[in-house]
Amino acid sequence: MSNHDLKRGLGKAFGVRTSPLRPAGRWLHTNLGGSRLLREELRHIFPDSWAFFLGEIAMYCFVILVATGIFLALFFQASEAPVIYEGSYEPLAGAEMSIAYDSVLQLSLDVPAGLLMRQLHHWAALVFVGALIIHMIRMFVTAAYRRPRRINWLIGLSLVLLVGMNGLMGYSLPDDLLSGTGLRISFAITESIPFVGPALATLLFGGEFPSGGLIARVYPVHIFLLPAAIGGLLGAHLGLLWLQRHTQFPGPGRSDRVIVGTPMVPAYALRTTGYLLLVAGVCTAFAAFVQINPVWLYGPYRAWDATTAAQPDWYMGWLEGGVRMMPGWDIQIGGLLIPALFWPAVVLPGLIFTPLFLVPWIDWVANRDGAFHNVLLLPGQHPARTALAAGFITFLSLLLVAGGNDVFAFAYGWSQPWLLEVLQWLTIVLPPVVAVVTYALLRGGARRWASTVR
Amino acid sequence: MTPPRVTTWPVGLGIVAAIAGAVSFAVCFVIGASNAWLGGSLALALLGLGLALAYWGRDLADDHVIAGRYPVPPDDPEGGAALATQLDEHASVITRRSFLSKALVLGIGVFALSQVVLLGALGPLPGDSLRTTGWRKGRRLVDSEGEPVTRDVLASGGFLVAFPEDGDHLERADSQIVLLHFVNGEFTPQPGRETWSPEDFVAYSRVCTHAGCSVAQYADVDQLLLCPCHQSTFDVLNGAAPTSGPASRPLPQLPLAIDDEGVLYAQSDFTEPIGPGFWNAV
Amino acid sequence: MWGREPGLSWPAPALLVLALVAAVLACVAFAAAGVSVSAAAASAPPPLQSPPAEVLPPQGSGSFTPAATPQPVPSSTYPPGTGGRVYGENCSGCHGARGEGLVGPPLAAAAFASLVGPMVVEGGISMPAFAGVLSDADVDAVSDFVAGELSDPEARTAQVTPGGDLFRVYCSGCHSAIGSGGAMPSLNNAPNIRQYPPAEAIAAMILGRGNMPSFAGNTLDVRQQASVALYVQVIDDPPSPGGFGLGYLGPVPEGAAGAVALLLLILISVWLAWRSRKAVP
Repeated sequence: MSNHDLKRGLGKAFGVRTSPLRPAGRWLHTNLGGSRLLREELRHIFPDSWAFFLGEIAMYCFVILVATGIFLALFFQASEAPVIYEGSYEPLAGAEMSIAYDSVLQLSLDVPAGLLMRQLHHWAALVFVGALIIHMIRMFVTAAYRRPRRINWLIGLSLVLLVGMNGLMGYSLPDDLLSGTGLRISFAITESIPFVGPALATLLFGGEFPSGGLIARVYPVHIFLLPAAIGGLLGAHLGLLWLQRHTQFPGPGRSDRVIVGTPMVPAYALRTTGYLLLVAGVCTAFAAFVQINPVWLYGPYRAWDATTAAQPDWYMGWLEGGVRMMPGWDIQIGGLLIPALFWPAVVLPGLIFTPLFLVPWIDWVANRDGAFHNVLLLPGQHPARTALAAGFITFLSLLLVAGGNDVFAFAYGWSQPWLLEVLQWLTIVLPPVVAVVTYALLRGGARRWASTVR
Repeated sequence: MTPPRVTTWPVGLGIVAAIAGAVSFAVCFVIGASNAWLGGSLALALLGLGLALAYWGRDLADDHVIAGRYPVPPDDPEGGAALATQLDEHASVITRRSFLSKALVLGIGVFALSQVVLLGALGPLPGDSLRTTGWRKGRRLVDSEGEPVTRDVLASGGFLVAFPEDGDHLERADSQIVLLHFVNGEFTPQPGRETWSPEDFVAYSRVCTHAGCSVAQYADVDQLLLCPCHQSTFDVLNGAAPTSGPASRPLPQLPLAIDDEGVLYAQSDFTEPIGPGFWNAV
Repeated sequence: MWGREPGLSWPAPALLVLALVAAVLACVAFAAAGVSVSAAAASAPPPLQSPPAEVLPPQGSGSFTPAATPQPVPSSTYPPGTGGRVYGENCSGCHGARGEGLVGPPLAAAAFASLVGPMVVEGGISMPAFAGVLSDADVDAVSDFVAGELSDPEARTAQVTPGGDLFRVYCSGCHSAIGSGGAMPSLNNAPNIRQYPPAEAIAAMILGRGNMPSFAGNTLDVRQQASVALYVQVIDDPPSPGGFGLGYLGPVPEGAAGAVALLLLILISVWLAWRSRKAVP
């Protein structure tokens, strides 16, 4: 009698039920067919590394955003029509504001758990984009974008763009002073585009700013259009990942043909479910104890109000930095004008994202390697790629710091014009220096890196 | 191979924390406790449950790895050719009629392109709206609470944020001005604008010519108007010309006059578009 | 420990910890800046003194020019122990017998005892603190006296909501919407207004300070000045049901805190993926 039969016998004898998954398994086979496929997939292999959790942070933040977003959507009213405030926040009693802002005040201050859901939504959004970017960096320095994952690289990059845009729209919905200021700047950026700028701006924004209909337009894009696109692309991203299996770091027994890792059931499933809850837990801890975007302190947006320390959320900070650092070099051709704002706000993002989309093909031109790869490269094994990444990250980080240069200057007691000029020079000089230094360091140590792996 | 004994107390701790947090969350919700209590309870519950499951998966589950095959690239390369041939055969229904299939593509393409016109429903074309504001000849200045601005209001100098009288939300947005009164003779009008500043009352558009924020900062000693968004700086005594920061065009000046009752009013609209530059602004 | 498992190896988690520490330090710096005076002189407010001859006087200060020296204290007609007596003996030398302003600014806008009290106790930029000099009862008495008798009756109709409106038109551009202060390209930064009693805002509005223009009687009348001061009172301790304010400096410290959250999660994933034995199939 086998161990298994003994256990079943004992179980029946003592009235202990066998696993409830047994009838489930039988049901799946009978009603869906293909239990062989399912049995195989139960042993779906996931290679182990902490670096492979970065995408999961992003995915679970998306889950949190959808869940909290549903709660918020039940209370938010996307109208800019004026209303007199009659809620519980005394300093705004009797103030005129938009219905949208009024609904966010109500949600934050009068709806039970409303503030928690709003803050959780916003913190999860900040962590979401951060995780996406570090995930992307990891992909790049380990060359995970090579065949057969080139399409998945493109899908992932599209996700970064869509998520960034959705975040921008999300924090613009409350119609407070900070976000309204951001929308005003977005209008200026749109109208700065040559030829089509002014028309595109009034078309997209519903008229000259403030058109009174912008929040109502942004709302369905933020809660439905973009999340649906993100969800669909995420499904494709995960589907490809499932079919092709996850890449793995080099190690004993591992090769482009043989994948080594943890089976999905039970260990990996437990770990990743636990991680979902831990991601939610950390974000909730922040939502509980650290205030974010206190809209009642900013007041409703009016186009003649202004505040200093006016930045977008951090993931748009690089754009803000470019806009602040760009000198006022307008180009005038006869009666036509290309405003200086066009270059950092429209051209620069294009210059940043276009090469990113072309990375798999730039890699092919550089390395002439069209083979299928399932094993990753360590960053130290390919100094040129890592050096490029280091330089690029340095450039974007400097733009990010420049986006908040007035706040840094104030907090650390520096002169703001001095700090801006320092950052302008650093942005030109530092990225190539960092790239060259990284390359030199890794070149020297590349052989040592490679040997620690084996 | 049996794994060595592992400790299970972290799972127990996690579950206890989860239950404590969940109960606390419910109680806090019902009694209307603060965000910190509510969120702290929820965080404790989530972290506790997460710890329990993560620890179980990491330390209590069978700690072995298995090996398998990468399905891509597939083992049979010639399967690709077979699939390609199959697809080609199915497609030949269309592709073998070359003229008609090209016409079909043209038809679908034209149809798709035609839907672009729906974009036009989104909003109006700019027309003149970006080049004009609410100011007209004779329109009086009012302050932020709607009171007409008389010469007495800034009798001893100073500055004020002003709007056109009876302006709606949009008019107030693009017509907002900063009104300055110089009492020590330090102001000299720009050439051609000698009649625009009666009794040294000067009005500049308050919409920044960089990206449209309100130029809300005023440095008294340096006589500068500054924009808080990107730190553009405009020299008040020199036609509000930009002196530093990313702005490139001066703040337009509004021609002013004073009527018999001492109320300031505009002689006309601005003579150039206010706010950020755009393609056909000039 | 790290070397057993194929991966990015030890420098990466080390960099993570460094980045986490840097992010936490950044958050602390922002919180400090938003709560108290910034250490560098660049943020210190300029002391009130007669401007040198070649510098133009602040616009609008013509409505009130502070005298250089206090006047001798006149004999008071108020009974001892009353607010009027306390005022006569302690305040009138600088603020004038009827609160018309002398060395110190006029008190027309000091229309609420809750504004006057803290100013008397803590002092302002140019005003001494009376904490050890006057008893609590005296402070209350003089506050009621100033607010009830010396202030302009119109100022007593001031309200918080219009004060907030005006604050966001005139003040938040330099001092930020929550009063934390802001960097200014020339001379001194606009300071964090929470470090002063709310009534100091009235003094600053009347007198102007350095690059801060004067708002006295020109830009804002006494009722509007009192309204702004009432709003400053609100953001003196900003209502923060959401938790720690991170210095109330906007999205920059929020981004730093978000980085802390992300780095914590990455460290958790380092723990989670660690395997206790070498991975051999």
